[in-house]
Amino acid sequence: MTTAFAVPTFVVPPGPERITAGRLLRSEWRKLWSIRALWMTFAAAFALTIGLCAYMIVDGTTLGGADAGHIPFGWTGLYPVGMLVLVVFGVLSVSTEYASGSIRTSLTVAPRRTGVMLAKAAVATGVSAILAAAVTVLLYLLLQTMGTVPSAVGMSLFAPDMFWGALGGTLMLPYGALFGVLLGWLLRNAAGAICLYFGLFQMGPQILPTFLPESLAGVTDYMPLAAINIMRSGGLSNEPYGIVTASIILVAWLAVLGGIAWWRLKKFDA
Amino acid sequence: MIVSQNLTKQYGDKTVVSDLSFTVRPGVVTGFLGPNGAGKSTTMRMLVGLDSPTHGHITIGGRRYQDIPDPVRHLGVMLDARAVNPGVTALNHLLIVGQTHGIATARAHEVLDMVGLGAVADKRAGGFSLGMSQRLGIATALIGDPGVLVLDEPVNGLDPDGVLWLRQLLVRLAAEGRTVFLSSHLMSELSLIAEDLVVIGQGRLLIAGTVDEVIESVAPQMTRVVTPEAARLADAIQAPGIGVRRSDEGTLFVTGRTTREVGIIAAAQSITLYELVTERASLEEAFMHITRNAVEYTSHEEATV
Repeated sequence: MTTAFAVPTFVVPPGPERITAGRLLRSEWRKLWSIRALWMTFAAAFALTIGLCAYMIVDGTTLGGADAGHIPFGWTGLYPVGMLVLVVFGVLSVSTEYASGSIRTSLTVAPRRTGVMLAKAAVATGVSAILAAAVTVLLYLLLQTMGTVPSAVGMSLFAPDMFWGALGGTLMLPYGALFGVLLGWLLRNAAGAICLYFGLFQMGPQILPTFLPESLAGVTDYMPLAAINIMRSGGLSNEPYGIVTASIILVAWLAVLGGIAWWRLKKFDA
Repeated sequence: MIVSQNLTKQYGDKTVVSDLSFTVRPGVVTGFLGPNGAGKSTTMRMLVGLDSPTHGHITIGGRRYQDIPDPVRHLGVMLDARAVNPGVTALNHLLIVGQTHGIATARAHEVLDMVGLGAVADKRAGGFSLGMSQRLGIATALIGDPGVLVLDEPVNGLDPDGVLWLRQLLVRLAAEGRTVFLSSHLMSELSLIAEDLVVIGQGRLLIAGTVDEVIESVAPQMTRVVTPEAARLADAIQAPGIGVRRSDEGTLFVTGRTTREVGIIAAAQSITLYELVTERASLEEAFMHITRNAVEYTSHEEATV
């Protein structure tokens, strides 16, 4: 190749614009609220949680009855519905990028990839956690106002009988969002990820014992939903393990899913 | 400057890019040509780290794209104009990209105005025509004011006004000393703006050089002269290394002498000339010739031009 005459060479001037963790978080935050499908799913999760739990509190028939009346945090019993929708939200936050092709833009802008994955997970989990805490406080205040659950009347949110159960229920919401994000990164496809979640994690504990040999039937006790049930029992249930083991199991599931998804993201072409 | 050295990409047994080495210099527009399936897009994807080379490497200013801490400021790329979430507005799409680097919101507005989408900044990208999507893709590539611009088929879908705008924009960016590297199947368009060409076929480099070098590698430039005294002019022009072919009574095709030289000789011999023009193959003819044995996908009927 020949150069007929000298041409100027454009030199990128030094500047403060570069990739940082905070900037990746800001970018992911903007994606969350500017993509309609995402924020609608997100809003639906919390609207469902608030609506169903508030109905139970106001009605009081179930929560204040003989079966559940002695459990002061029983109003978190419908949080799994919100968690389910947050799993879908988490999956969509990744799969919409792959479906639209905008993942190529995201991974070109931040070519090391790990930052994009962590930022997306952090935003989904962080925002879910903040809203989950707010929802819990809101529902607790409604519970105290209505007074339909005798065992909870006048009880502080931070009283041990109330706090641990409420905390376990609250944490399952951001856990669902994070679980969904990691499933999304793993499979990159909404239908596949949601089918896997329902087929294995949601329905698995009921279906798998039918197919597994008796010696392995206990495996389902170590699936995420079983551990979540221990967490949100607030210490009322310690079978087959306690809260510490349940926490380890939940973190281990995230580590396995996240590790495989990260390996796949780094190893393979986008 | 983009440097590709022994770049190779294999998918299983299939080699999509094979030992590809070329350089794209700053200050000029460089066209990246090849038939469908030649490996152009794969090469561009490897340039920005979306695909990993099996062997070799491709760098920008001596660094791998993935190793640049502020990549958007060094390289702007548009590989697929439709690769935008359809539910996002044009402005938000640019802000999503720009915020990863802390680029100011004002810059997003600036590039939207630059590509003519200022009036539809708050419209969702899903409602854009192909031409508007191309403009948004170009705006995305420009948001970091990069030193290197890589565009895959940027002219697709643009109206004539858009094509003219893009042509002027790319020439201006190159004149500022930036590296402009674009693929296109529109030979007529490339011949207007590109100074350098990289032509590949079936993943291999077929030729690289200036447009003139590429065309002359296929068919040397000729001077066509029409004169009532063709025989006398042919005798006067003849010299070692000079070719003169007479096509009819008054027309000569001369190789090895420019129109200026032929004109001077004719004037010295007092020979009247009716026509004196330079003739050379078109870029399209050169491309067809160069890639004739490197076409991956072709119809069974031979194309007629």
